[in-house]
Amino acid sequence: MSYPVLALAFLALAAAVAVVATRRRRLGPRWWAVTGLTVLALMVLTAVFDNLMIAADLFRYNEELLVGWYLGLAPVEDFAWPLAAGLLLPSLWELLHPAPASPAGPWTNARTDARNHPRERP
Amino acid sequence: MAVIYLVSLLASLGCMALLDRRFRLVLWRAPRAGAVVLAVGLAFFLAWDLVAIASQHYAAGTSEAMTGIMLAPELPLEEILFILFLCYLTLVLRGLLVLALGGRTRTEQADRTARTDRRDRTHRPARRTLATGERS
Repeated sequence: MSYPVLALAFLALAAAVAVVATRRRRLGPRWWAVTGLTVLALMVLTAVFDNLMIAADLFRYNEELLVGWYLGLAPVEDFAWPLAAGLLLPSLWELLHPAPASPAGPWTNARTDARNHPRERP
Repeated sequence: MAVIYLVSLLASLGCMALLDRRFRLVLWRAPRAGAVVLAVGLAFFLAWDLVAIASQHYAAGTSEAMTGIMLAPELPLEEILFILFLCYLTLVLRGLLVLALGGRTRTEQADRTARTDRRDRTHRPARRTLATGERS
């Protein structure tokens, strides 16, 4: 199995959790916009720190199984990690946290809040 | 220095905790849910690591910045902390972005509006005095 296939399998899992969270918590375009910004910021950090970490020889790749595109020393496959993290963790948070106190609170509209947590509204 | 990477990771995790505490984003907002989310994130990326190591995609480097303590073949102790840091960073970063974009929970927004209304009522005479003072 090539590494991109493996990465896509885990990305699909993260995306599936995001879809479930979107449906269950009725997450709107604003939630997704903030999620997109989070992923973008994580990717910039990855571009910088992955290069430093590979240069420091903290870990290595089997280069024969990589697609062969690099950003400096960082293989393009490594950007699957920030993408997966940015999708998976906020989605899990939406599914598991006590809803009204969420940092995503303002990104869900009032009608949605009332529908999801009717008892918590006066 | 065999502990540089370990210490850097612990320091970065500490910084995330400080931001979390200051702005009440994750563990200081919903401790149990936050811990569960971080644990699931750790399990997810650890599984990714283990599958990638088993199919010979990843290998540990030989950097002298690492302790050399291995939890499994090709899986250094530091990797656990790296995954935890990535997961915590993701949640803290997202929380900060929401704050920076002016987001507030509806409850907080209602509180703030109520407070502003009260302040407006209380301070209106004072403002008039000030305005008069400026004119004279």
